[in-house]
Amino acid sequence: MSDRPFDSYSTSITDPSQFFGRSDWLEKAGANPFNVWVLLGGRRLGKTSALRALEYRLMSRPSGAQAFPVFIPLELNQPRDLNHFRFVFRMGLRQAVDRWRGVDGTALATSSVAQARNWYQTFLSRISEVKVTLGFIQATMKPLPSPETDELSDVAFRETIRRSLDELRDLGYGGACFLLDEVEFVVRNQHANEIFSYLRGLKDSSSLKSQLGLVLSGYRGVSEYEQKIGSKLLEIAKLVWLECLTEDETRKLAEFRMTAEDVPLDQSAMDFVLKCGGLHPFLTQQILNAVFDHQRTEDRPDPEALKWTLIEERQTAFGAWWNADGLTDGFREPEREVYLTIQATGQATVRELVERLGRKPLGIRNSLRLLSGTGVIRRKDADSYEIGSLLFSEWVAQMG
Amino acid sequence: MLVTLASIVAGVVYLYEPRRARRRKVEATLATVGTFLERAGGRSERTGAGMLRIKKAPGRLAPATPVLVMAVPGEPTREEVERLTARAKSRDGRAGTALLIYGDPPALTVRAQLAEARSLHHVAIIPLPLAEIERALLENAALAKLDEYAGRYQEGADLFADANAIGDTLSFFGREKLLRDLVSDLRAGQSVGLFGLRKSGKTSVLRQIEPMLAGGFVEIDLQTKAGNPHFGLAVFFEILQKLSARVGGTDALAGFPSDGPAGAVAGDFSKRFTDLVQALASEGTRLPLVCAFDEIDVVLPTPARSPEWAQEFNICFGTLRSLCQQQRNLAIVVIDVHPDANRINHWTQAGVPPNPLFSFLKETFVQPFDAKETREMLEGISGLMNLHFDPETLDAVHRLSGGHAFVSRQLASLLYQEISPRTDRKIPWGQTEPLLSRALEYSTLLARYIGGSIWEDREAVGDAIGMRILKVLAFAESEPVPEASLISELPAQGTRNSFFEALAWLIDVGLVVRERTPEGDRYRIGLPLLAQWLQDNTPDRHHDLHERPALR
Repeated sequence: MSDRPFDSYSTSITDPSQFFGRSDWLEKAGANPFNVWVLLGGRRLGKTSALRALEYRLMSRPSGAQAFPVFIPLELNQPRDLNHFRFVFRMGLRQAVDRWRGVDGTALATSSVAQARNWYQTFLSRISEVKVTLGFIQATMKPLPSPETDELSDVAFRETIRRSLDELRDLGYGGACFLLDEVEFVVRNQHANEIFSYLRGLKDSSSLKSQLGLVLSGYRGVSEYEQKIGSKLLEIAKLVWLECLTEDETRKLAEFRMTAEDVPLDQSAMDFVLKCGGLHPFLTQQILNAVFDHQRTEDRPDPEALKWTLIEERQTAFGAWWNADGLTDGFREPEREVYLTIQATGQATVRELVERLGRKPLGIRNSLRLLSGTGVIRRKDADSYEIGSLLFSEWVAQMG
Repeated sequence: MLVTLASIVAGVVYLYEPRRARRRKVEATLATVGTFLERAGGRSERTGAGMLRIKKAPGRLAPATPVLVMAVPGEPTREEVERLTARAKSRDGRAGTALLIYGDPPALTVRAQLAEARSLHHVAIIPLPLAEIERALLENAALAKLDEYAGRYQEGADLFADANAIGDTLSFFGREKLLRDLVSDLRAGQSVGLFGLRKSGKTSVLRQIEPMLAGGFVEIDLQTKAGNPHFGLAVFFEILQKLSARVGGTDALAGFPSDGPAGAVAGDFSKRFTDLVQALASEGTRLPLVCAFDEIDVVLPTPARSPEWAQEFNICFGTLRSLCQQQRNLAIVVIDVHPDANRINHWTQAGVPPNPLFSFLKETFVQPFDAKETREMLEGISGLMNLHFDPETLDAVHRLSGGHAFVSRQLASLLYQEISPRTDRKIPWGQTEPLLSRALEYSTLLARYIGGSIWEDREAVGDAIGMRILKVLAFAESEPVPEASLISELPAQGTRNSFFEALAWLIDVGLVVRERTPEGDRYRIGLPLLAQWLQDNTPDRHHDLHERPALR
């Protein structure tokens, strides 16, 4: 089907009604938007979608205690240095407020859920910066404008931020929460230490600390940077690793898709989706696309053939996750070792992995965190894990 | 008869003067609080002795309107808290909210009363130190301060887990001698270097000495100067800006540039600074003024920095040192993990004069708590949260943390999060022991702190000897370890001098504990969780962590 939204569910979800899961984190971050959060997760696990969900949540419930969300995609606006980063930060806030005004954000306070949802779509489409594929608005991503001077000194930055925060208070918000997507692009920068130190300085400042929130999303690079010296900002951050959805959440997602596509799935089809996808949100969406198309075109569905077709289509992504050649930010030998051990029996506890691999518990837990944060294994409880996506597992088995 | 009359009048004055003085103090406090609330965007009115009612509450307090406010210039008593609770209770059964503004921190029993007010009477009392209000007024941050405290004391908040520096006196414990000594040194004009591990409480100590210096204190956070090659001028500008705000005008900044090299304005800065300090002194501020520089490592001229950077550092801190020594109207406090700012004489940058701070600062280290202080801290915080730790748990937390306050608090937070929901706010030893024995596995924050902020820090500064000492102690089969055994483990290229220097720092920051015995000095690890982390991440003590990927 050519008119599936979000590029057939391969880009981030920006429609709140189509976002499932992450409710725990959304609840906590929504209640504490002036903290510093670091949201970690592998590629395609839904970090950007989660940030958008938080953006919607914060924007649609304005109150004296609420934060005005400012989404800044750092892949598009890669900071050259600290001065440029301040500019990106400041422009992101300015543009978000201008858009909010342009779409009459004051109406949100009295709008219904459906109205708020429509308002949000209009808000997103306003700046031609977001791919909002609801079938009627298409736009390409554009970076923030770069006038001749795209740098901002500390003094100028603080002054303009303070004025903006005063303006936000007049609009009914208690401050701003910056949602910095793909912080990997800061971590790789030679000025990363300066940027994080600066942000920490802002958070330590009496006049700004309870009016400024930060949510940084990233993956391995951010996680490892955080473990090194210089990450003063990350010292005060709450670190959250995303994982797979729950079975309940995945079923709700599938039911929504069934209604939208008007194609019911029987028990065996649903089992196929759950097993092959392993509750991974992106894999689940792609599998559903294939299953719906398959059901429409095939008189006798062939799950086995469909499974191998799906594996073939995902080879590049799986290869990047597995990272056998060490060229991506995917797994390393410790993670691959742990995955293969779990794969052998389908599940394992931390103690079992410690005994079988002869490694220490902390190292094992770090590997487990990366694996579950990529969505290829699932955590059953604090001490035990099971294999996730059958597609990925079979692909790994093929790799020998 | 006249003598009798005079005696009677004297007697009456004697009886009533303390009460009048107290009333004047209460009125002055209420006036300050009223100004604070107004600047925060609220509207309040007087209601009874020593009380205000906020009719329009701003920010995060808005949903709780109306909010009752009691101002106590000294230490709040049980009776005062009872009165506040009774007045704040809502007649229609809704939860009430009140602010308790205090001059001196309340006793432990009164803190427990605050928690009871919430749990038994559904009144959320937000305690707010008067010193923080005064600071917020100076920094034009009234609403931010109000929001901070409203957020901190919201329902279910985990007060153990606060990762920021502690300005709230209710959450600050111990360090009485350290605070007294610091204030005494600074008042005598002695500049100080305050050093210690990350999260050891250095910035929190700064927050506590500020009110003790009664207005003569300016803090400069150097993190916001990160990457700015003209940080020296930025420091000058910020000092003048903050002092100007206190003498009621910004004329002192007229014509002073906001950017450029510090060398161009050093003389101008000194003159303007001196004039401002004299103006403050004439208004009653006690000299010397104290200027605190947090996170000085951000601007320290490391070998990677340019000669211009080192020059900027020299001009900035050379000017400040000159003001300290010649004018004697300034004392500085430098805060960092390592005492490099005080111990590096010559920079590596060719042609740059020596470090003006070399051996200028009196070095003071923030040390771990003793058992009594750990217990007081955990009981004090848990009192505010209506939690009850049993004595064995408190002792175990102290043992495992070695008295390092941040570690104790995070252990307590782990127990609070994992146990109290099931046990009606009690934390019994039977349930805590299994968690504490695997604390590093269950608390990623603690594992990150120990692996990153402590161990990686040693690696980053190239402290191979210190790392070897810690590993030997972590793997020691029996504690404490005699000095001779430690020295025998030195790498071949190490010297006795470098050994004792490395050991001294480890002892100063509480990572190693020395015990003096008749047979000689012996040592043990000061942070048992670090020993556990090393055991979990190194196959054995002879295997260098550098040779394998970290955290395998």
